[in-house]
Amino acid sequence: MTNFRNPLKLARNHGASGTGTGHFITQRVTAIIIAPLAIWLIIGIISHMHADLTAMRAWIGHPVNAGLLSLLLIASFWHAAIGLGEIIQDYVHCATKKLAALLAVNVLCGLLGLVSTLAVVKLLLV
Amino acid sequence: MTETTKTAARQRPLSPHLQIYRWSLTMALSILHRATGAALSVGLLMIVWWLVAAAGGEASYATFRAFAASPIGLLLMLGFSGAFYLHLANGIRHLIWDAGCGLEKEAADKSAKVAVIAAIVMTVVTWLLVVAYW
Repeated sequence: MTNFRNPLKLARNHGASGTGTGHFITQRVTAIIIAPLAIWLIIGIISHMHADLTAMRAWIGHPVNAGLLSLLLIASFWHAAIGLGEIIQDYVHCATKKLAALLAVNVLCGLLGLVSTLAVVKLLLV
Repeated sequence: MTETTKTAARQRPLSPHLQIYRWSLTMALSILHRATGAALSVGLLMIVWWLVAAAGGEASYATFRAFAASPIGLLLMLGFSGAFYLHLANGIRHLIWDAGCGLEKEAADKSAKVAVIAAIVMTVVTWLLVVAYW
C-alpha cells in the first residue's frame, strides 16, 4: 500500500527535545528584545548609582521604565529557560532526571519572572 | 544494566571531544556562549533581588545596597557585565549566522576576534562610567 504520509510529518517533533523550531525562533526574538533593553538598564542603573530608595522607586515605577523593565524581565527569563533547557537536553541523558531538571528550570524561571515583574508593577502603582 | 557494564568494560572508542581538539577561538567562544548564558541566568537573581528589595522597603533595600556595594557584590557585577557583553557580542554573531552570512572559516575567525574585543571594550567602558559616577 502506498504511504501517503509526508516524510516531514515523520521527522517533525522527533528530535532530542521533542520540539525544535518554536524554541529556536523564540530564543532569537527574545534575544533581539533583550539586547537593547539590557544596555538601557545598565545605563539606567549606573546613572542612578547614588539614588536613595525614593528616587530608585520613582525611576522603576515610571510607566515607561516599568513597561520596558517588565518586557526585559519576561524576555530574559524566557530566554534563560530555553537556554538552560537546551543545556539540560544536551547533557542530561537519563529521561527522569532530564524531565525533573527541565521542570525545575521552567518553574523557577516562571516564578522568578513573575515575582520580579510583580515588584515592578507594585512600584508602578505606588 | 549488564549491557552498559559490558560496553564500559570493552572501552569502546569515543568520538573526539574537548580534550582531543586543538583549541581555537571559535571553539572557545562556542563553549563560552553556553557558560556565560548559564552564569547570566544566575545573574538574573541579583536583578530580582534588586527589584524585590526596592518594592519591599527601606530595610530590604539597605541590605541589597550593602551587598551590591561590597567587594563581593562589585566583583559579581563585574563578572556578570563581562559575561553579558561577551554573550551579547557572540549572540549578534549567531544572529548574523542565522541570516546565512559569515559562515566561512575566515569570516567566523574574524568575527570571533571582533566579538571578544567588543566585549572587552564594552566592559571597560561600563566600569569607567561607574568609576566616573562614583
